[in-house]
Amino acid sequence: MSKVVELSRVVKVYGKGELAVKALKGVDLEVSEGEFLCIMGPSGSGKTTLLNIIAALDKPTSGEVKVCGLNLAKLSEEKLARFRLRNIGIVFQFHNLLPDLTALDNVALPAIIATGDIKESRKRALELLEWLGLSSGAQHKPFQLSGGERQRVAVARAIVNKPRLLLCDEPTGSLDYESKLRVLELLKRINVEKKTAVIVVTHDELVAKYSTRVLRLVDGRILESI
Amino acid sequence: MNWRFVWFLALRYLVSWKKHSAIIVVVIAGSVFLYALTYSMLCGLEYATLSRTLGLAVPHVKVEVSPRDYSKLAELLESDTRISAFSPRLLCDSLLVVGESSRGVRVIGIQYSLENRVSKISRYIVDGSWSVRDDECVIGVVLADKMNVSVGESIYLLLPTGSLWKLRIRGVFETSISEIDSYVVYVDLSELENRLGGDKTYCVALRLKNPSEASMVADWLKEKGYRASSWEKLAGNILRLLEVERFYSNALIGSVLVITSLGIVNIMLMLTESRKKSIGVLKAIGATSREIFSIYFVVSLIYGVLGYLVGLVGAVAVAEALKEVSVEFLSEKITVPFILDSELCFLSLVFSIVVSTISCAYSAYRASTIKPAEVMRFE
Ligand SMILES: Nc1ncnc2c1ncn2[C@@H]1O[C@H](COP(=O)(O)OP(=O)(O)OP(=O)(O)O)[C@@H](O)[C@H]1O
Ligand SMILES: [Mg+2]
Repeated sequence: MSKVVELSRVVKVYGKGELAVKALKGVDLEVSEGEFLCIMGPSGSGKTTLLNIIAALDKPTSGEVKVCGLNLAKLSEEKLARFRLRNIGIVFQFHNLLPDLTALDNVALPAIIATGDIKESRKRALELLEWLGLSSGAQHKPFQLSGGERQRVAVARAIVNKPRLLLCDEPTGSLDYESKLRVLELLKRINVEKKTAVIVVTHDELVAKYSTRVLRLVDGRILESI
Repeated sequence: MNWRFVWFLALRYLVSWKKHSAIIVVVIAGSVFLYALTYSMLCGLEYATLSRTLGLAVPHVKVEVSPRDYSKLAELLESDTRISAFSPRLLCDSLLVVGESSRGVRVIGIQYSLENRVSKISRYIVDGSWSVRDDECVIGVVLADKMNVSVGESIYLLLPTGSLWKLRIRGVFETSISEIDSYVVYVDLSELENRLGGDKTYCVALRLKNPSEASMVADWLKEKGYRASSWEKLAGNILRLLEVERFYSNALIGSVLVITSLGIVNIMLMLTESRKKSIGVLKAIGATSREIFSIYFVVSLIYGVLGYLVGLVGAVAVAEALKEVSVEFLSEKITVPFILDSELCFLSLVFSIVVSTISCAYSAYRASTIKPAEVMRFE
């Protein structure tokens, strides 16, 4: 099976000199197609840092990052943006949706950036929202949706361009139990039905139940696999 | 660069920021309104003062020549197609006497038909007629009022030679240029010449088909050995005053521009700051920095164009409704029309787009440099 993510000896240091913080201390990681990987770790262990590096939102201090077989260090900022657009979907803990757009336009946005075809993108977004059972809120602005709905719309947006990799940073962090389950079920469904590789970083034990593999990140190092 | 996406989001932002968008458009419209109206008045003032002064008080080109050389000059002037008319004038200062009262006046000797082609003075005749002959004169309405005389009555001129000349008033003119109306007495050229004797200089006034060629014609005459000067030189103080006027208008427009821009910069920075997370998300999705910059830039361009349209419509409406205003300029009441031509409309568009884009450029730049990894970290 082909590798979607290959990290080797990735180190990330924030700041310089006395104030330097070593967030990642040499991480090796491989993720295959179709995997649902859960990376657990306490607060401050470097989970967000790791995810940002995989998503090419941040550059490692040293080490090699390959996503979908491509070495990210060699790409310009503009190329990276386009690479993300087509290959990686991202769901953050907060602030995923643009408050100025309806849920439908939020979901359609990555497709609009990629194709420029507004009508077709909206059609695809609506189909996706229907598939996820969210079509009733399509015309609502984000502030009119519940936290759980917002997160599920964010997931829909992350997969509208059919990425090979879906990255989620604490996607259930601010949700109640019921909403958590629905978001996780959604991620699982995408993972199974669309064969999208999913990486979720979290300190929520519940996520582990849905994943095919669990890793622990402690103090910038990957410890054990279960 | 995906321009469809840029426009899509720019329009969404515009609609979503209703209140702020409206404020910015109104502010830009206000300054365009002020700009267009101020400049149309300035153009009107320039037009009003120059068109009244030019040809009447100030000829397009003035040539000084002795009566001996006049016919040679006349031949030269007649052969040139740029010159539409010319008129020899003989000037002298004298005293106008009516009964007990007297006043210093400027006597101008002219050939009435030639002079009329240059200064169109017959248009301003309010009583009697313009055709001065022999012992006749035409005087200004203010002078006539002050001396309490009218057409048909007699006046005396005490010439510099000491002789007294009795004249019958043939006509009265009103140019509404106070120096002319209260000061000038037109008489027949050859009569005046005979009475003055001695060395004299004709002051030949030229009317050009195109007044802007005045300095060219003056230079050409100078080359031929004549003492010539153009209206730009003669009306120098009027032009300088207009320049001062222009300077103050520019200062006013400049301060409006600065205040407007600061207001817009403020609103736009606030909007960018409040949309930081959105921009982080856009970049995380895959929008490029250039696209983000363009979105804000397009928004500001739309503000500029909308503000321009609203402001210009307002200015045109006011200019149409008022048509003209009465202002005091050079201690005279003059009627100033609003001149809102296509050049001014174009300049207003440039003005509003410059205001809006300059004031939005910084926030657009700020937006484009946002790093998603940093803004998405916190709640
Ligand atoms: N921009 C930064 N500058 C300096 N230090 C940083 C920066 N970002 C993160 N850090 C530090 O790096 C370490 C790892 O941070 P990171 O956000 O990756 O942790 P995390 O596992 O995601 O924590 P949490 O569960 O609270 O989100 C922390 O000690 C943090 O203080
Ligand atoms: Mg984190």
